[in-house]
Amino acid sequence: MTVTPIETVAATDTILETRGLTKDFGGLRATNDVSFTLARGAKEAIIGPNGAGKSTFFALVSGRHRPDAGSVTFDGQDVTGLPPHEIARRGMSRAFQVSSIFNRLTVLENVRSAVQVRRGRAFDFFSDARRVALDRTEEILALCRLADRRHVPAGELSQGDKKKLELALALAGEPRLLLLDEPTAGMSLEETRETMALVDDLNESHGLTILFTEHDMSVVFNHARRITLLHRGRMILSGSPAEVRANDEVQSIYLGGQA
Amino acid sequence: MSQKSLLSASLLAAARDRLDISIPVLLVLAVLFVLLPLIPGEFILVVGTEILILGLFALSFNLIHGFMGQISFGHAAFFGLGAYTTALILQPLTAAGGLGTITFLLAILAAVPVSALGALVVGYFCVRLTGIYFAMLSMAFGELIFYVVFSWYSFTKGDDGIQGLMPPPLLKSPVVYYYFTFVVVALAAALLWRITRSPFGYTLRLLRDNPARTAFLGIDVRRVMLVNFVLAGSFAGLAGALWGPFARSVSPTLLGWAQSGVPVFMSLIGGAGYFAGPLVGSIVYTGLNSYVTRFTIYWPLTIGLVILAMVLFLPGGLLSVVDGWLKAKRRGEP
Repeated sequence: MTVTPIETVAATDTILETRGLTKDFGGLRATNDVSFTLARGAKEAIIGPNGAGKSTFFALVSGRHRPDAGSVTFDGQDVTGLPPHEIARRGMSRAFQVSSIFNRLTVLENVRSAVQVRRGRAFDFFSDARRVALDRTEEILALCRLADRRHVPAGELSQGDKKKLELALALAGEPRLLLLDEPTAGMSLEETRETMALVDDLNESHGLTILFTEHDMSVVFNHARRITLLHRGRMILSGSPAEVRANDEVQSIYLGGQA
Repeated sequence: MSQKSLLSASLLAAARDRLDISIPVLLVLAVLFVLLPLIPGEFILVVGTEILILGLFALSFNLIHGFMGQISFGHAAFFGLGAYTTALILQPLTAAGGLGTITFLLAILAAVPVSALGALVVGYFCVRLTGIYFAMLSMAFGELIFYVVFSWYSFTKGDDGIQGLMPPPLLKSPVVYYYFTFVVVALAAALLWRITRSPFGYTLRLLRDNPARTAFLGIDVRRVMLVNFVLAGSFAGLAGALWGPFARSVSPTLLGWAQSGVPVFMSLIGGAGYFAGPLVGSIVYTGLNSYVTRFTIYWPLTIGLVILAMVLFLPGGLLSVVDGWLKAKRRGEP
């Protein structure tokens, strides 16, 4: 992602900041006063047991849900309560836990259409869609190792390939911040290794800021430079993998159950 | 799966990507439509003209249905608005006996902005909903517009409709009006074809397959839906404009819910998943209607049975048969 937009907003070292973010669903406080800061260029993970509020946190940040209290600041701009498309246009892309793709379109059409949208061609009525934004489309297909599947309808892909396409769609948005909700769920070991290698590469070579959730603790500890633990909607702690591993509280509420 | 079979599967899909079944179907249909007047008698021209007009109506409907994944049960409102616009302009001119060809063409074109405006107002509300709610709201608005036209006697002549419409002298003979309709419908269909294959056309397909995800790509879903609703209404208006001079009159039933069902049935019969599907559906529906009603008064029963058979045995429409047949044939080749 060599996108370096020229903006009048002073570039800060913080790309994402939430303050006191809170969301209730009925009687359940799914996200409770979360104040989280993500530095530009970071590669971090959010962990927590099922129901900890990881997905709700992503939904609040990306505009899927509107917070009941608190604020979200993305790249210096207040994006609290903005609809998903407005936030996506500002350069935040999201890949979903359960792959959410376009089943009746081929892999190529999925990615190509997403790139065309990003390039402002959504209301281009007269060009031949098959010839627009192909360069970038092919780049992303190669990057996500989907090139040989390009003519397969997305609905017929294997679970692992669906997750790759999910990531490819997020990349098509040429984001500055990539939110990945369990990027390797349903993938084989080999696919997991490939995908996380790509995530590392996007972060290190392309300067993309990445925030991900993951159930697989080996993935978390091997790839995140900082880890934040959520529990029952609250942010419990944030630290380096070594710090988190050594923390007693983490052991008791999260890792303890599995170890 | 071996490497070889993977490769051939993707090549096969590539071939399918290049050869849209609608292309050969449209070419064959175009030739048939051009040759149709070789069949003697005026009746076939009447049927042919009706097939073309309602075919364009159904093609416009399919922008909303097949490409955007919603069903409108009020699409006839825009067909009817177009028909009345042209009729209200033509009627006094025809009565005065001075209708020129250019004036006539302008009266046809005038239907487009009127229907577009109607679709903009109705669409503004409908695109806030999806699925059955979208369908019901579009039907409610369709009926609302129907009752306005039905009740506003001083302007629309209400239930009497507008009588005495006529094409200009140059286009008056049935065969000439048939070819005129053919040219207008062919040009409109070519434009629709272009739109459905454009980046906008693919944006519609994104909405059809997964509207929630589309928003996260940076698309304002409602805005795309509204623009498409207006486009579909505009083409429906153009189809409606051709109706009055053909049928010699227009009446409020052109806007009613029964008329809104026509493109739904046509898309179902031909195959909403194919660009040419609604046109094929119009041939079957209109053709059947024209001939069956000569022999029996049980037209609703007949079309009901046809629809029932389609839903039960061919949910993909008639073109899915041709599609499957072509694919099987291609697979058989080395």
